[in-house]
Amino acid sequence: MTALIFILVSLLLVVGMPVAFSLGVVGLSGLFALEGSGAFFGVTMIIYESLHSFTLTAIPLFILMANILIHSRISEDLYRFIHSLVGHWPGGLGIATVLFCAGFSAISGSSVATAATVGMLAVPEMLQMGYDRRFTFGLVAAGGTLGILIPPSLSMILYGALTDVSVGDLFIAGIIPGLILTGFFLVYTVIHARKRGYVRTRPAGWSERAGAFRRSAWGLVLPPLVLGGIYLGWFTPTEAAGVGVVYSLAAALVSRRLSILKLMPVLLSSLRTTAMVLVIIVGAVLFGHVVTILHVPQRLITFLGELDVAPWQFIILVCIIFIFLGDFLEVVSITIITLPIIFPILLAIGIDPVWFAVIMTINMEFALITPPVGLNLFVIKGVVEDASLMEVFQGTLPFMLLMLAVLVLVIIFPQLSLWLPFMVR
Amino acid sequence: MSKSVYIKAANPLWHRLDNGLLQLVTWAARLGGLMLLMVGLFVLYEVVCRYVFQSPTLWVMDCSIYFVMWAVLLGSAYTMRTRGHVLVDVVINKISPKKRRVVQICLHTVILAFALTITAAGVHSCVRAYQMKELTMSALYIPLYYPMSSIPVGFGLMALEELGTLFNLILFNNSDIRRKEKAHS
Repeated sequence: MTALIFILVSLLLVVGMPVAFSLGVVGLSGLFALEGSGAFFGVTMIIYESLHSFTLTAIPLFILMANILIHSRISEDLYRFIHSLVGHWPGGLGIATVLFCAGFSAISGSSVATAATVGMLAVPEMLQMGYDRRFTFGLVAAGGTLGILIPPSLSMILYGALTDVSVGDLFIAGIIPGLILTGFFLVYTVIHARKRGYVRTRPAGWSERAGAFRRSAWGLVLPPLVLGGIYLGWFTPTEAAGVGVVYSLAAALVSRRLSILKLMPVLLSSLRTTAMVLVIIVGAVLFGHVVTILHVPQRLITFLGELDVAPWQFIILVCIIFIFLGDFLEVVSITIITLPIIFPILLAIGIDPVWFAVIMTINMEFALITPPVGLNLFVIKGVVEDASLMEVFQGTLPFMLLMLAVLVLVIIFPQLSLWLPFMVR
Repeated sequence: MSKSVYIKAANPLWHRLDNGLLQLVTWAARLGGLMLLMVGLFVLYEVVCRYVFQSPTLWVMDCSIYFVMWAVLLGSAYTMRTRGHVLVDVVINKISPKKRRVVQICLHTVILAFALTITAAGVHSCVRAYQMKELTMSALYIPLYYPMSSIPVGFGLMALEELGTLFNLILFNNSDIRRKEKAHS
């Protein structure tokens, strides 16, 4: 039975059924097979419970906030401001791109939103200035992945919602690894730019910078508001998201960058993304119910116990599984499918769940840029039509090595992720 | 003649039904979108109450959860129509259009059966909750069927949407991608 349900799900996924329904259909069928007609009476409550979480509420709010910022072009002003500060450095456009990715990641929890925003702004400009195509595509696709490592992070909210680990702790744990990765990207960009001898742009004058600062001031308030609020314990991540939504909406309306009439498309596209994520959760909870009834996690723990697997061996094994799954599935699906099975094992063999969340998130960043299903690769293709998927992927390879280096660092030195949450507590 | 014009001429009744369905799903999604925005306002109100008036509310947390639940389920059919639910399309894109149509008809039939089952189960549970006067297990004691009825409504909409897709596929050999373009325009 256990093998059968996993084979069925894989089969439905491969023939192109949406992830949410593949899981839901197999889950519901499994319930009927195991519980008979009882499944019919129980399924509504299972679905109801799957959506009954205040932590999950943060997901639509962060999505909505990012969409408001993008549609009102507040995010574009942020990019222009950073650009006016560092554009004239060697590889300045690349540096501005990385810094913007890190900065926008501190507002938005989504890597795809980050890559899409920076892609539209930076890619045409970089190509025009003679930057190598592969480098440009790779930088933007990989830079965008910072979105889920630097808090707020949708995948960490999911992790927290599924495991009851404090989302605040998870967010803070991502900060230092996120900054290290940003630093690696910056260093590589400078080295690459010096080697290629890219033309530098003219330095912006101070009045130009002041103007860019004024225009971007609306957006610059957000990271300290959202992150500072969580960090200082003023509000929970969900509340921070709500405050961020209302603030960015007010900013967009007051600065006349968005009219009430143009709000509906923003709401619709936010709802579309939200429904995509949360319906996968509904499907996965149905599926997870069957997995739990079949005692899959317990059997895996027993199996691993007999093998006498050390925590580090387990982590490496899981990383390999994640990277494999990441080729075919996107972040939400992988997290929701695997975590309920993996999490009990983590606790059983004594791996810190916060530390593991950071390791998992870096793995999920790989999932975003590995073909055939790497969402950020498609984002770049959406911006530059003649870019081939292979070209973008080749561009991300050097950045993947840097990400791998950070992953290894985080595994070897757990303090990189655990020290800051410990200090804040 | 483009395909949609052809369908309009060949079967005006179906064309009108399909258009009506599109309107229904889109309006449901608009309502859902507004609910998301309201959740943002609720949460801000909670923060203000806690810090300014020193009195946290009892209803914000529960209302936010129920609003998100309703929004997601109202928006799921629209997400189907606009092909927003993620899927693995590497394999399906490689096979011939003829075979792809057969596979799609099978998949949509399975999803239709799934959505119908949950709609029926949802109606059953809501009617029972209404008859037994069940309340939500939270600070906010409201009838359980208020939030729970989002499940039969949402899955009912999804079932209708799947039915529309199937009709298009079977009667007119019209791929669901064309329907997506219509929804976006």
